[in-house]
Amino acid sequence: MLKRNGQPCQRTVPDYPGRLTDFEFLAYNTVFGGIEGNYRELALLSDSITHTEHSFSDVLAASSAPSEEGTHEIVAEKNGRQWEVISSLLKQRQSELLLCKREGNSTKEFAIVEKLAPNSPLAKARGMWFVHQTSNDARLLLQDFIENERQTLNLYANDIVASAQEKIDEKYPGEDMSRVIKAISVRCMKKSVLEEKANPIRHRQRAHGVRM
Amino acid sequence: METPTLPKPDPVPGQKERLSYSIHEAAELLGVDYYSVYRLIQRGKLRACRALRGKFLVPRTELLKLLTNE
Repeated sequence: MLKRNGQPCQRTVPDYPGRLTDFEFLAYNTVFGGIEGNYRELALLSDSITHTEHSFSDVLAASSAPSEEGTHEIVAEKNGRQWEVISSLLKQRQSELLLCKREGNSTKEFAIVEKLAPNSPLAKARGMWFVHQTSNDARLLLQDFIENERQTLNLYANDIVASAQEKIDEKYPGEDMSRVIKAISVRCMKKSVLEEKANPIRHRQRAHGVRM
Repeated sequence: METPTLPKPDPVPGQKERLSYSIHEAAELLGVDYYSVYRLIQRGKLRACRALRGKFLVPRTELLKLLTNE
């Protein structure tokens, strides 16, 4: 039997290959309970982004279909620039990410636009249609969007782990809880990375021609 | 344009102006989901710094910049 400081290490937790002692296991459950809400949110966002990745070809097809008057919602930035909404990419509680396009005489431009709650201070300052990225290539724009969303998830996951570290330091000062924090970190980070095999558009560098 | 103010949250009694805010506080002040704040940081539209143990803090000045359309 594996022992650490005389304590048997038999306890297992999700996504972590190592074994924890009873004391570490108790600490893990206590600390994870404090971040569980954030972890669930992270998991939901990760699933939504994966869903967007899997609908990549449908969204791309919609972006290249000819525009017919009156079929898509038209939105306007605060500066008056108008966009036609092609597809919803990600819904959140207070906002929605949209793929939009606008056509000139011989040019097309695409944008990732966040629809903000109209009464929010940010919407009042910037307008309720917040443009994150633009490009004249819808494929590159979508690839870049998904890559950016994964990186954003990673920032969120890192912040959750930092919160867990705070709770550990608070509740177990002076104790070696490195395996507990490692186990929580592995579980959170797993949600912020992509299913590598399922996704053909992973691991590309920032697309050229995409403006942030 | 009106000068934007950041009226809340202000959890420290007697302290009227905070120097920085947590992600959740920043989200409340901007009226967006907190995940949208991470998105603004990742896209370089909102600058944030790392505090103890790596947690993000958003400087008050950066929030004001975003709300003044700079």
